[in-house]
Amino acid sequence: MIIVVESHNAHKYSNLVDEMFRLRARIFRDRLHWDVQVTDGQERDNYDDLHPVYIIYCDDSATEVKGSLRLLPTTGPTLSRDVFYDTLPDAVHLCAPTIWECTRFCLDEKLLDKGKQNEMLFACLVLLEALGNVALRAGIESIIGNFDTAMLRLYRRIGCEVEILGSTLRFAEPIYLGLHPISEPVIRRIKARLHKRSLLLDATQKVAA
Amino acid sequence: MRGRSEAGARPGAARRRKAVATNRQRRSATVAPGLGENMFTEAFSIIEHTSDIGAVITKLRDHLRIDHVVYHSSKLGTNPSDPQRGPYIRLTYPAAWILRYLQMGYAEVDPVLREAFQRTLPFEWSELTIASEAEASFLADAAAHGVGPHGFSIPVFSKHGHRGHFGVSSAQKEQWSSFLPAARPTLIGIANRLHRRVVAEVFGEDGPPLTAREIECLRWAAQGKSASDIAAILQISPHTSREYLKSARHKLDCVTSPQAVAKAVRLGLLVL
Repeated sequence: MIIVVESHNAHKYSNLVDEMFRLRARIFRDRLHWDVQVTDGQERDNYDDLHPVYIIYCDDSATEVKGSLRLLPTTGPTLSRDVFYDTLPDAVHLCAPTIWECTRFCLDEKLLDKGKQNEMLFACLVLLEALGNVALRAGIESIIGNFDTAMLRLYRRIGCEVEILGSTLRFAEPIYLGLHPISEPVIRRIKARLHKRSLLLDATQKVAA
Repeated sequence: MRGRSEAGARPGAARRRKAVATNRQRRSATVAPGLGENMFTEAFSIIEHTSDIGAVITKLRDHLRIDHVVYHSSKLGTNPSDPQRGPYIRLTYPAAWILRYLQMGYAEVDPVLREAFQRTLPFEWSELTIASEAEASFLADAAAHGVGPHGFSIPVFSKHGHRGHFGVSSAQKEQWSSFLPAARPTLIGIANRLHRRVVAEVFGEDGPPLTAREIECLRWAAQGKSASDIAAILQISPHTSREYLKSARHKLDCVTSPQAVAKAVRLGLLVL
């Protein structure tokens, strides 16, 4: 299921939120080798102190995190500005109530194994659909996000619309800054792909069983 | 322009004009009577031209034809009850309710106030987490004084982390359910515009400057280019060129791009 966590309800999901910070450490430090701060196995940065919105995809008992992302409005401080200020001075200063920033988009590493392609693509679409629903409700028209080459390939593969605004080589691998348009037709297309993926997933699971 | 070649440039322009017209229709179809683009422009004009911010709030209430409007900004940002810094509050609530609020020490109980400074997404008061009996009776008391029970709150931010809250409320269920769905985007725009004024005027924080690209987009807009034209010139998508213009309008506190062009010229940011 999807849980949207903000500071007002974070206490209800403290274990889940800790799990998310642990997943972020495993993905961004251990797997992608990004220069991130990890304390007690949890990856957190200054932007986690600014009351961001977390969208968490988890199992039905809300204990295991399958994927998560973090949202902040571009009218406030943004991480993109810190990461891309020298390479993309124009794009990182986009600032409007309808443009938000998505960072720390990640999926459970168990889904990244070779045999789990369908589940991974499904999880990615579930998160994107949830992001779309939250965004439409909040009047958000664009999401700016940073990601690596693998993630960019994944976005293209699942048909998620994204325009690359530029990239930086500050980290081990190129990191891109992209802009996702948000509108009802875009979200409808994601829902349709999600539906197709879920049928596919059902079919493969039946074969496996 | 989906799958269409640009061979016939003239008909293309006509079609584009048509597309703009349909967009406009689509937009006005999604807004309630009296809440169209004019409503937006008028609200921005009230915020820009009314010298006293308290008077801005009253005028906005009348303009939106809603029961009450509240704006609350905390100097420290995340902690509204910090004793070191006085909060900046302007509202239309009845004097009797303000007095009672202070006498009862309701600032400690008020769940709208608490969540407005914890949440980041806009929220309806019906979504509040009511944690105690005291909070429930507070909301009942507020409603008895004509504040709520229907309300919508928009948390607002600044680049230097300065948080605020803009809220509107109504006592009538029917008025509310016809008002809110259509008014949401307008209210979010108004909340942010007002916050920018308070942050600049009361707390002296500079807004983010226009970037070279935003100025470039305004320059093309000044020459009558549409967002799609600008996208083609700059080799970006039409959506992204619209976002650069949107960002420029936000930074210049304008509703439309022509307004933003005029203001940029007036401020000497754009030389035509």
